[in-house]
This record gives sequence, C-alpha cells and structure tokens, in this order.
Amino acid sequence: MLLTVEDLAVSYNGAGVVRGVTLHTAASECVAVFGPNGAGKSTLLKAVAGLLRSDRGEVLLDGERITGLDPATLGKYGIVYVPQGRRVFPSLTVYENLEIMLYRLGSRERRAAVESVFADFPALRDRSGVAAGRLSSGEQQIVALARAMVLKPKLLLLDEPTHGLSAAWVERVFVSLKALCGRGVAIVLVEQAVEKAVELADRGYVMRLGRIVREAEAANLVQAYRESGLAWTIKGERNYELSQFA
Amino acid sequence: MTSFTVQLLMNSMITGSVYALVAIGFALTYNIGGFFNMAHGAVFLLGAYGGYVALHVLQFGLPLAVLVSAAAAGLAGIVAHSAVFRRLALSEAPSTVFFISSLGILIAVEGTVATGFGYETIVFMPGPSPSSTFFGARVTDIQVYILALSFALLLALVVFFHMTNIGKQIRAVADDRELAKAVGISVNGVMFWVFVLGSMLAGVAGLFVGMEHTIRPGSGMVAVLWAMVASIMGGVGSFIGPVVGAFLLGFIENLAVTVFPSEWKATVVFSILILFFFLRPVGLFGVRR
Ligand SMILES: Nc1ncnc2c1ncn2[C@@H]1O[C@H](COP(=O)(O)OP(=O)(O)O)[C@@H](O)[C@H]1O
Ligand SMILES: [Mg+2]
Repeated sequence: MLLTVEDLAVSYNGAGVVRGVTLHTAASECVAVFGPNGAGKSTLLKAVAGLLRSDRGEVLLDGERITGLDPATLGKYGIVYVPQGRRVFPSLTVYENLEIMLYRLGSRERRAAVESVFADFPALRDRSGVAAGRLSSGEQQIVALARAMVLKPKLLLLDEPTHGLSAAWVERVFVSLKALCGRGVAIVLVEQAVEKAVELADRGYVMRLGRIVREAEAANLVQAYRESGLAWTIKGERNYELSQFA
Repeated sequence: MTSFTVQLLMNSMITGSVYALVAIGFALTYNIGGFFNMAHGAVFLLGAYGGYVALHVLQFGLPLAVLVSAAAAGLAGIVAHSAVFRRLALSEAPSTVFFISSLGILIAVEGTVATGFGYETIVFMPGPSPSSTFFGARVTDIQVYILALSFALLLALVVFFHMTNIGKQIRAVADDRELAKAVGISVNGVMFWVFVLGSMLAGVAGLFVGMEHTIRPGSGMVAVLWAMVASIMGGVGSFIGPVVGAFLLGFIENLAVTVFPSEWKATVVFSILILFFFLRPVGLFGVRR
C-alpha cells in the first residue's frame, strides 16, 4: 500500500474532529473522500500532511511510519499537499510559485524541473512572468496543481481543488487531474463536486462527524454516498449534482 | 518649482529614506510574525551607538562606521530572534506575549545604553557640514551621503527579494504564511533572515539619524513609532507599502514644521495616522484579506 492511515485521531482544544480514521491508497490509485462541511476532511488531510499533530494513530508510506513528519520532509518522500482555498502566493510570479518548492536545488536544476512541469501545463508557460494574484481562480488552481507537481510526487493530497470555480474551470481542473492519474500519480481527493470526482476516482470513502461511514468502489460510490444519508444533509447547489443520481 | 518646494521635497526624501530603512524590517516582522516588534527600536539604538563608537572612539571613517552599525544591529537582531522570538514561536505564544517581550528588550537595551553613554543627547557630527545648492535648495554633504546610501540599500533589497532564494521565500511567507508552511517553507528560518536584514537596515538608519540630527537612549522608541506609522500608512502586506509610507511620513513631517510650530510635528503625524485608520485601515498598498 502506498499510503495507509490507521486509526488517526485529531482534535482542536480537546474536541475530537477526526475520530479514528482508517483509509488507504494504492500506488497510482485515486481515492475520493466525500462528506458534509465540518465532517473533518480538511483536518484529516492536514494531519496526514504534517500540519497538525495527531492524538493517536499512524500514517504509513510504503509501510514506513511517516506520522507527523513536516511538509518539507514529506515532499522529499513524494507526498505533496494542496490546501483548500489558499492556492497561490499572489505577489510571486507563476514561475516563482513553482520554483519556490525547489529552493534546495541549484538554479539550473530548478529551471529544468519547472520547464518539465510547464510541458504538462502549457497554458502556464505564457503566464510564467505574471504575478499569480492577477490570475483567475481557475488559473490559480492550475498553478497550485503545477506547483505540487514540481516535486514529482507519488501522492497528492488535494483539498477541494474546484471549490468556488466556475463550471468550465471545474471541468478543466478535472481534465488536469485525470492527466495526472494517467501518469501514475496517486491522489487523495476531498471534493464536493461529487459527480466529477466519482468519474475520476477508483474508490472512495464517505466521512461524517470525524469517522469513515462508508467505503466503496467507484461504481458503487454514488450508492454509498446516498445510503449515508448525505444527499439530504447537504444544502445548496451541490444537491443538484446529487439529485441526478437519486 | 520654487526653491521652497525643492527644499521641502529634498528634506522629505532624506527623512523618508531613513524612515524607510527602519520601516522595512518592522513591517516584515509584523506581516510574518503578527506582532509589533518594539525590539526594532533596540537594534536601531545599538546601530546608532555602535556607529558613534566607530566614528569617535575607534576613529573609523564613515564607510567603516556604516558597516559597524549594520553589524552591531544585525547581531542584536540574531540574538533577539534566537534567544527570544524563535522560542516564543516554537511554543506558539500569543502575539501579546511577543509584543511585551519585545518591549522588554527595548527597555533593557535603552537602560544598558544609558548606563554606558548617559541619558544626554549625542551629536555625531559637531560643526557645520559643507553643503551645496541644488535648484535653490541647500543640501549638506552628509545628506547627500545618507540619501545615496539609503537608495542604494533599498535598491539592493529589491534585487535581493527578487533574485535570491531567501528573498523569494520571505516574499512567499509574507504573502501567505499558512500556504508557505503547507508547501514546506520553514517560517522560522525565514524569520531569522527577516531579523538579520531588517535589523541591519535599522542599525544603519540609527547611524544616519545620529549624523543628521542627534541620538539619545529614548531615540529607539521614537524610531519604532515612525516605523509603525509608516507601515500603517503604506500597508504592511507588500515591500513597497512601508517604503511609500515612510516617504509620505517624511513629507508630512517636513510640511508640518513649515506650517505649525515644530513641537506640533508628532501631533500632526498621529492625527493623520488616525485619519488613515478611518479612511484606509489597510494602508495605501494594503490588500483586504
Ligand atoms: N483551527 C481550528 N480550530 C478549531 N476548530 C476547527 C479548526 N479547524 C476546523 N475546526 C472544526 O473542526 C471541524 C471539522 O472541520 P474541517 O476539517 O475543516 O471539516 P471539512 O473539511 O470536512 O469541512 C469543524 O467543526 C470545524 O469547525
Ligand atoms: Mg474542508
């Protein structure tokens, strides 16, 4: 197993938010994590990414214990986290946003690594000198994905990459994600755009109140999601996506 | 332009460039660390008195005195960061604790300096400085030196921020501290460099103030207040904000003393500061987050 999370628990000021989560991802596998707001999905990813201390439980990479290692070390091991909402460093150029991941390398190696990522995200090459804060939210999300890819990760932890994007950009982000999957990058994807995520994912989990309440193969994911009762607990536009399956 | 206007602009540039040297480090520390670092006044003071010792005790020339000021203040910045602020950051202390600790450092350094040099005002450059006339404005050689070196330092800093690894990391952390952590940038490592560079610039500013005006142990507190005002007026979120704020502050001060009696200078400055709080709380170059 590439990534194994075992009985992970995280709390804020004593209040348990992630309460014993166990999940796993095989190499090159895309795993979706669904759940209503407040379920603890972001907290789970942050703890795996080494940004929050866990109360108990383990995180293993290829069977080696990596629990609580800091993001820089995890990056070296091939795990890169892309947080929700905060996409880019706005005053840094697109090029600098990618390059900043590589400060340990010499400038020639940095340029080569950024160039190879531009090959996968050609639209960014034209924008490379632009301050990232000037880009649209959709473009910024593509920059965030490209920035993660600079480290040539084995595993991406993505927290709601399409949150707040227009339908056209949601589409484009998923095209990029599909391309990354095709290249053998494993992904743990927290996503509210359930319909799109189900298309992409091999497998998925449904999380509620800090626990995994369902696990299913892609084909059964929508069914599992519905059975968990979430279609009726989520308010707002995302319901429309769910209602198509109901 | 009348010679009055040229003189006013010239004086504003000189005052502003010195304020800018102090404001940059203060604003960066506030932006990244989230606290008003009163100890910035302590490094300013150590730079000033270090420069005084270099000039008058060691009989160094001006270029060497500038290096001594920068080194003294830079070292003090390293000590303050390593001994106090880094530890507070590691224990995730609230920002009030940072503030009170930094105030403690300023008071302690002020007292130490007063013990060594006394409370009286020190004049670095007694006697008139040779001067020249520039479009009807009188500019002393010392002022030309201060202006040239300040602008050179500001330019060097821009290059540093855009061309070096550390510089880019400082910009990244200033942009978004949480994202920087998430992508594996060491915020404490960046803070170390902010303290080193910010303190060195403040130290040189201390020497300049001593050369152009006078220095006393209380000057450290005054310098932090300028830095605070410049940062708030310009906005702390960018490099350009505090620099423009510093020049604006220099202009307001120099204009104020031509209109009001000079004892009113601080009153005018702080009245305008309060106006800023009402009209543009994020500063001229600030962004609402
Ligand atoms: N920094 C924090 N401090 C205290 N409580 C938090 C913090 N971040 C999140 N929470 C709480 O933890 C719960 C789970 O949040 P989160 O992991 O963001 O959920 P999700 O990503 O599934 O919407 C929520 O009730 C939220 O209010
Ligand atoms: Mg979330």
